[in-house]
Amino acid sequence: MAHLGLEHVAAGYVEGIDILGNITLEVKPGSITGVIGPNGAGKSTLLKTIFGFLHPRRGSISFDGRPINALAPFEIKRLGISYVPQGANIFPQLTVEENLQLGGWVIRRDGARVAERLESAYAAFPRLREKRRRRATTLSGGEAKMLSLAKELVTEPTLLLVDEPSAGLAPRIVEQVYAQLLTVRDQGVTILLVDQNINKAVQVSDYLYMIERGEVRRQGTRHDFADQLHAIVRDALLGA
Amino acid sequence: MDAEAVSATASGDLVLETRGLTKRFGGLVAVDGLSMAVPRGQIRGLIGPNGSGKTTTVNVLSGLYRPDGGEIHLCGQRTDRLRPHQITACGVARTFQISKLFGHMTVLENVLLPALAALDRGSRRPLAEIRERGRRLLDFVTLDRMRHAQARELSGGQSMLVQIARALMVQPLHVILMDEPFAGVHPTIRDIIMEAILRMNREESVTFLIVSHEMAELRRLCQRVTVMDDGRRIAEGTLEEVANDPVVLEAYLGT
Repeated sequence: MAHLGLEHVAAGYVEGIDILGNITLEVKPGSITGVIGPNGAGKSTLLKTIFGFLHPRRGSISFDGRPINALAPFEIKRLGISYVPQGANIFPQLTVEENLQLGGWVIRRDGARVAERLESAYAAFPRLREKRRRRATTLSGGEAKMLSLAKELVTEPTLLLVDEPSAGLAPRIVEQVYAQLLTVRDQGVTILLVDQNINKAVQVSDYLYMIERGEVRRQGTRHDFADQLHAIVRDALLGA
Repeated sequence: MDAEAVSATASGDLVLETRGLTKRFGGLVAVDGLSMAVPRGQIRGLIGPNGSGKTTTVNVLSGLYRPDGGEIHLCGQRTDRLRPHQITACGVARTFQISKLFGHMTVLENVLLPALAALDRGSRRPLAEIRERGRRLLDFVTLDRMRHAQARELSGGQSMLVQIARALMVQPLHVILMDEPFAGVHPTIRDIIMEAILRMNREESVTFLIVSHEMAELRRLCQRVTVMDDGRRIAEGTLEEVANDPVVLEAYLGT
């Protein structure tokens, strides 16, 4: 099972401004690791840096023992890492099935495998099977979120990077999305989750990091965090 | 501070007040019966988790959105049916989180714009005074040397400084609404922004309503903060008070 490690990673968009200042963290195989922190802490930037949209200015990122700092996103995808960005990352004018097929782009030459993977996506998400001939634009917000998740699972990633899965979704749908993440974890996929929804992140994560202004401020097990939730938010509000 | 402003402070009058303010987008109630009051001369923070309705509130206050219900009183006038430029003419300026400068105009032209637009609508403000004030404001935000550069050449932080200088060009000026003035801004520029807010508050008794997630900055600036969640006001007080309010803590934890 997949293992991800970051050592003293710094990254940013504009010269001279580090969004991530110094991030050291570890994602253990088969776990859900949660990253929480206030707006602007660098949570989304962390995932973009791991997935190769940004390259670390300092420090190193390793996946299953090999450095991936300098790789492009498609190369990282081939290693078995998938990235589920915020919102619905789908092609609205294509059908549900075409979206899933595009999710399997890097395995497209293996028709049997693609068919088998689509079947397993439909088994996991029965709503998507019902709507497989529909254009993605006709999906509800929750269905679109499920499609963007299913689309990333087509390549059978061993590590899934998930950014704010609950953003903008109705509470009932939010429950389904997190339940789905737990199912995926139980199938052996390692998950790195960044989330504003602290309560949910603490419920589903095995281990958590809190980051603030690009630095790790706290880390610990779900139980360590569960006892300190109010203190964590209070400190964040007081800018302490 | 002029005599009128002094007596206004003494009587504690409200320069910004909403009663039952409501704004819907389809089935989503972004601002839900919000009532808040800011006395003249205060620097008020407006905080809350993502999606709690802070930016929508600023957009309704500044006239970009028409409210679906409730009342807004700014500087003693009912403004909830006014258009943005009419609200500006009441003495209410604003800045945007994402720069809304005119990229192909110079920095100085952007700053002069509110005064030139007012001239066009019949103001008698002398052009020499306008230019003088524009230069002084640019100097104040440390960008005078950039005055002939095109606005699109500026960094995000510099653009925020120009937006602030432009807001300060509005006359009369009673209130500035700011949406995330520190987001993504370099620490040096944050300090300039804070200094500008404090000085304009002190010297020209400008009232501020500042939406921000940057608690360290709000703590230095604001006497009081209002906390929103799900479009409603859930708490108000000093930052210390609201940070110890269980209702606020739960709101930030999510459901």
